[in-house]
Amino acid sequence: MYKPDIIEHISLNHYIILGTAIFIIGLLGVLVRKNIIIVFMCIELMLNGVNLILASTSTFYSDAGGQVMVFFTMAVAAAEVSVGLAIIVMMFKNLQSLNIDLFGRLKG
Amino acid sequence: MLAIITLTIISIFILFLGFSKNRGMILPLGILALAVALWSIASGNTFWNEYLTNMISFEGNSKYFSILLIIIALAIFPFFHELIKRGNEELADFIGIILLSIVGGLLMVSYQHMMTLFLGIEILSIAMYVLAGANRRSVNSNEASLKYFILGALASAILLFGIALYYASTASLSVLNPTIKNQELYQLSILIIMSGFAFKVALAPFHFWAPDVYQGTPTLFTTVMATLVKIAGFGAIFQFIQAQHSLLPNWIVWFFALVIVTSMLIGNIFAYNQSSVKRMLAYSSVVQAGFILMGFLNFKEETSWMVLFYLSAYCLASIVTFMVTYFVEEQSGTDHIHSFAGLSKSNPILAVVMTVALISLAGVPLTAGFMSKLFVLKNANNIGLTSLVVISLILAVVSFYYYFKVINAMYSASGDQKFKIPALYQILLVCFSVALILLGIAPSLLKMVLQI
Repeated sequence: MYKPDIIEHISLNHYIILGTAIFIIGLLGVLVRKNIIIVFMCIELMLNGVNLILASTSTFYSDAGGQVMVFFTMAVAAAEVSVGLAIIVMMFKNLQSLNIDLFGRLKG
Repeated sequence: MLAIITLTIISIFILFLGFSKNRGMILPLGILALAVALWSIASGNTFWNEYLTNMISFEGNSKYFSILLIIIALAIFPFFHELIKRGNEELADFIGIILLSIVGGLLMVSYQHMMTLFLGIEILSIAMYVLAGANRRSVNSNEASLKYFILGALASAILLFGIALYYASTASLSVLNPTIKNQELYQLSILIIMSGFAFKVALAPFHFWAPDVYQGTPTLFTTVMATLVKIAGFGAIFQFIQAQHSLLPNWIVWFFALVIVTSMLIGNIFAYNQSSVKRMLAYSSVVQAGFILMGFLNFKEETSWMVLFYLSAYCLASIVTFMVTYFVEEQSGTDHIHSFAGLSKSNPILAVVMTVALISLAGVPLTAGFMSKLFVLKNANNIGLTSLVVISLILAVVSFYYYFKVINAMYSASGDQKFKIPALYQILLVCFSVALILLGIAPSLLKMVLQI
């Protein structure tokens, strides 16, 4: 596999740290935000952080597997979002709101 | 490969069949697809297998996990006839989606490559998000679906992060024979991947979605969630540990022990005072998942049988308990424990099968639940974790309280109106309880069934 020289200027660890940082920002967003659409975008952010690690590792080790995996991740994320938006529409029809805090009905 | 192709093509065909008026065809076609898949896996059919180079393998233990998965699916399928009775418009959609989720389960128990693992988990999970929201007009079902979706997507992202770190530390996405380039990163990736798995099979401290989702989901689909997803999830954990067990760091035993103790403690404490039976069963499934994980503590050849035996005992008992809960819920409109009062008068057969299933979950001798608990406890004892064995024995005794609370309610008086359920369901439920007792007397029967 073709490996550009320029990628050697920054070590693999830096890419992994950047990917992890994006992942953790997304994770915090999922835990903190109240609007479902924003929570959704944060999950996408987590997946994109992971994609960055996969793609950079793939280039560093000259192994195509990681880049193919990125395509699969994107396809799966699209499928997930289509189901998720359907769930949100269903919820909005019943409750007329997108706030996550309205969902506390199921309790022990 | 033939199994996956058949299930996928027939499920798409069933989705289109939903447009036609002829709904009677749908269930028999689904059962036919499952039967063909069972035959092709059991007979070791190699149709088009060369296209799967090192991605999936239906040999050895993954074959037994696949067979168990399909047998349990076949056991649940006749009950979906209930959906026709209520004139449900979406019958074709549900059956098609369940068949697709079984494809995901088959990928999860037979993967050799991280890509197949991720695809399998996502196919199974996305199907389950839809089923959780099956009752569109009920806000409870919406809530269950949304919670399952957000937490499930979070778990998938965490698992994928673990896979990416695994890739960065070994330079290969294959599960088999990795060459480790960076030991610290590898250990971190194992921890994160295991946490992602624990999320999917509802092990504490990653269990918090389970009670809400189990309670809000329509009961027929909770059965699917409690059985097929557990088999597929533990199959995936088994596949991973089988490929990596010589490389796994030593602390993994302590990580497992910690997860087991928290699952049992949290499951028992919260199940103790539940008035909703479905919620109680959800917490009990957290406890049972802890017991199943105990089988992985000491990995050797017999581990797969121990895990398979526990899974089949748990799944048979779960089908019976959730289906009886479904019929009681249909009758009285709620799954509150009071609606079980007097079940022994209003429908004695349901009361008896429910009793057998509950005492099997609790682990009374002469049931499959007892033998399976015995096997896993012996396994934990073999590697010297005596304190873990003692703690789990005490907690198993505590769990008798909430199982027997339901039994006590069923046999207390004050049952007045009788109700009947169709004979087919009664026969099936009785068969499953007989199977539970038979497996408890002769555990080796399972080997005979799975080695067809």
